[in-house]
Amino acid sequence: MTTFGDLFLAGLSTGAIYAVFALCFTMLFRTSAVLNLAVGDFAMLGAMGVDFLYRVESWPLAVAIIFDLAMIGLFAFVYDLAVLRTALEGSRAREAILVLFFFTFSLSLFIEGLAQHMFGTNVVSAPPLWNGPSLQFWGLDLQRPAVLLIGLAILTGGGFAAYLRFSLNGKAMAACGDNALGARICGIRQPSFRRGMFVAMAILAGVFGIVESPMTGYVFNSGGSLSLLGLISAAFAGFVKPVRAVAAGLLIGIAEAMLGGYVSSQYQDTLLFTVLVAAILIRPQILGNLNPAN
Amino acid sequence: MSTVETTTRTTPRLTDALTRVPGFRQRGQLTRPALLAVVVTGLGLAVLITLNGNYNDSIFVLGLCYAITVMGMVVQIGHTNQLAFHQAFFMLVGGYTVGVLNTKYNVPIVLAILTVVAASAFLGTLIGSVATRVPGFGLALATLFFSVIASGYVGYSSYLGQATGINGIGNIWSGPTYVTSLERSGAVALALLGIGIFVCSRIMHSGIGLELSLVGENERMAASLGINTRRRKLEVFVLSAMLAALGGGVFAGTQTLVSPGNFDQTAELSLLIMLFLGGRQAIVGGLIGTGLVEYLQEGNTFISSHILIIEGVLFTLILLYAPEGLLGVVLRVYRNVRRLSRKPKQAAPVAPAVGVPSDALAAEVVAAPVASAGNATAAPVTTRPVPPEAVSTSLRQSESSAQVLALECQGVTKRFGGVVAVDDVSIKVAPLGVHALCGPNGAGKSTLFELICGGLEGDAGDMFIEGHHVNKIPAYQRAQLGVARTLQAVRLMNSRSALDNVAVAAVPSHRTFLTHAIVRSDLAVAYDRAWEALEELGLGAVAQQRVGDLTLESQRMVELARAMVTNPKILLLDEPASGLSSEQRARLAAKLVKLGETVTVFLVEHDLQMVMDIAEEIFVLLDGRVVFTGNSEEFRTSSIVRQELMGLLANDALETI
Repeated sequence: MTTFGDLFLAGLSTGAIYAVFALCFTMLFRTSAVLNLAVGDFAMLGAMGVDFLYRVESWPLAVAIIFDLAMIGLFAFVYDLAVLRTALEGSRAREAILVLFFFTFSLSLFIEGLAQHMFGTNVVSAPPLWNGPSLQFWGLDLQRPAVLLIGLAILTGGGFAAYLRFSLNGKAMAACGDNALGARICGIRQPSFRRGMFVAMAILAGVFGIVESPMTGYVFNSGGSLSLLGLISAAFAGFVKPVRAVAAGLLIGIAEAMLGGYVSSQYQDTLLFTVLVAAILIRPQILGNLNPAN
Repeated sequence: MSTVETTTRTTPRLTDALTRVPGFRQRGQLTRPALLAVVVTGLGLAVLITLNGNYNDSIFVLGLCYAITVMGMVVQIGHTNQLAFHQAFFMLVGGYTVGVLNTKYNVPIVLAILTVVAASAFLGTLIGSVATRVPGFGLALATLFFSVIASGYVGYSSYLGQATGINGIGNIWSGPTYVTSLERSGAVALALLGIGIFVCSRIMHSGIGLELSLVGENERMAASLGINTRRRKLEVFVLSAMLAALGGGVFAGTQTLVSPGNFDQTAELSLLIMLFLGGRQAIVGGLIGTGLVEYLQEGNTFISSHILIIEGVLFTLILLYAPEGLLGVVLRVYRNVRRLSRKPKQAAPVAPAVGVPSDALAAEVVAAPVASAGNATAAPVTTRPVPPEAVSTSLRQSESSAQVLALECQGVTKRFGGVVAVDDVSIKVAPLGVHALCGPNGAGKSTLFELICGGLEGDAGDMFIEGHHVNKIPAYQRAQLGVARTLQAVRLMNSRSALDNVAVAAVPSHRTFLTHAIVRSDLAVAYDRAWEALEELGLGAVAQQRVGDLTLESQRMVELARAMVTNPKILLLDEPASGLSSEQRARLAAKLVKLGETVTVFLVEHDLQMVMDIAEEIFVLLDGRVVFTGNSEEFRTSSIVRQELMGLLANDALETI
């Protein structure tokens, strides 16, 4: 029972990070039909940037965090302006499925290369934001960063769901993803929604990188596999509902921990991916009625 | 229009087209791919000998392994537009199988490679038959994880050497000792690459290649022309799996070691960068990309230490400004330079093809389709657009026209949720002549057409085409039975020429395997038939123009030609006159009557005047039910027609209510 509980909690905290990435994929896809495969790299930039500023350059923690997040936001903004805008708007618009995968994949390569030169190749982490001994729940240990992470994941998921459902902006945003042209005809400024969401999701990923890093640590290329897990979580949630994306991320995290605990710790990722991919192949309907070409 | 006129007007475009479609001439179809393969292999050997066994030589040989894999990606991702990321996975399968067979069972490398290529054909079919069911985006997403799964597995398997992999694999060719082992293995790799180039180039430039590009452009359109899209997608999946396994096997046999890191997701990404950087739609593009990326990654210490940044920037720039890759840039520059340099000295619009005497070529090309086949070298060229079997069937059909109906629906019903779009429809369409289906918007006309073509499956009732019960027969097979159609909205490959668009339907190889294309291509036959169909409809002059540049009338005619070239028995036309002027409608009507002499024309049309003029039998559909059947005279006087159809057009029908 204790093992099950421990595994469950461990799964929940790794699931929380997948959940947030799934949320990032879902929200950006809903506004612009773009998949940001660099989302894990933004998280890595968050963690490694804060570590660099705080530990190496000895900045105050709060300043380091704010500066780091601001730089991530600025970088995302410039990237959107320079690349996504050209790729998605105007006469040079590119085929949807290429935009979907390859632009942000190149971005991911670029960020990893940049981080390798700026921060080196060691595993580092930002300092824990909430210090103290681990918390006790029914005899189970739970690290404080994990509590923070799970709480934040659920909060942001709920927040975005409420935003989409109850605010006019949110509805306009959802319309952009359903039919970009239709939304534009109705007077919705779809490009600025995309830009805003791209920057916001980059910063959100950065925040979660900072919060999560004390538990696992980051190296310059750890973003890639995190992005993949977020992507597949979002895919299982059909890229539509933020709450569903968070739930899928948490469930996949728990499934991963269970596979690791009860089946094989070496093959936990391999098994997890095998099951998930098999599910997509056997029942493609899981992905929902995706039409990235709209 | 006289033949002479057509010839002079289309000559420049035809020669231009030859640079794009090397398969146009029967002779060129074999020599081009073979020449390409021989030239690449020869150049490769020269490079191999020049480098003479130093470090660059090993990079070159490594690049050859990736190049073999990239060839399959050119066909699958570039040409057929099927984005799938399974290549690194199959390279791993190839590399590790060869490694295990050689080190643990002492199987010679070449035999091991042959085994694994055959095995991967089987494995590819197994995985592909599941994977190609998944629509485009899902296929990319699912296959994205293949290499993650496989490298994750071998990385922990102690049988497969865990993270270090398998060492001490034998050399692919242990032959003569007066050349270095690198040169020996490089020579074998080059030979295999040459075979890969030949096979892929043959496929892309065959009739099946044309089919594949249509599958990439619009699957529904392809199916409506009788192409089994799922099988074609599976075939290119298997092809790229086999070439990837070959690449992996050659990797094992030339590098003599394999490790999980060689074939993980990073390797897959490298392969994709190679493909897109060079130019994903052409063999040469793939080769350029492979060479460049391989050099960047290994050849220069400064670059390779900044490789991630450089690849990221380079890839972004290519996608933004040259999505057709470096080869595309080179070709674009070359064309511009050529155009600029020619302008001042030559007023005539004749554009000679690269490296070929223009006049001879133009004469040959034009002579083949326009005049009857006096050319003895073009063996399978048919003199008539209709093959002999088809002629005899149509003759037989007209003799016994009373017995076999062209089309029969018995109680056909289709529901969409609560809405009954087609409600217990029973109609009989006699062979030949023009038949029309009328009715107000939302009456279920297009749905009924969709049911006839097989695009939708009915909920009840039976459908017979030429006496065949077709309820369970998929769309592409109904097309093969002789159902051709055009849609309300024009659907053509806009970036291709009218000739290409029609030829794709005329390819007689719809039923053959992909491998058929390697042995022989039916493209010349297809082009001949397409040419004749276009000429017949008066489109000879625009045959070589991009379809996107044509007028709506011409586009509809191209669609009609495309439908006709399949030798259909029933031609379904959904509102062929919509968007046309009255003059154009008159021309269309005349053509339809003429077509009705040889095929059964069944059209949906809102232009009642045109329908009454040309149709010998008219059906009226209202709220999914047939409310009227009769000839045009009965149609004119029928009260229900006046009430329901004319009422929508003229106010005087209100009196009858």
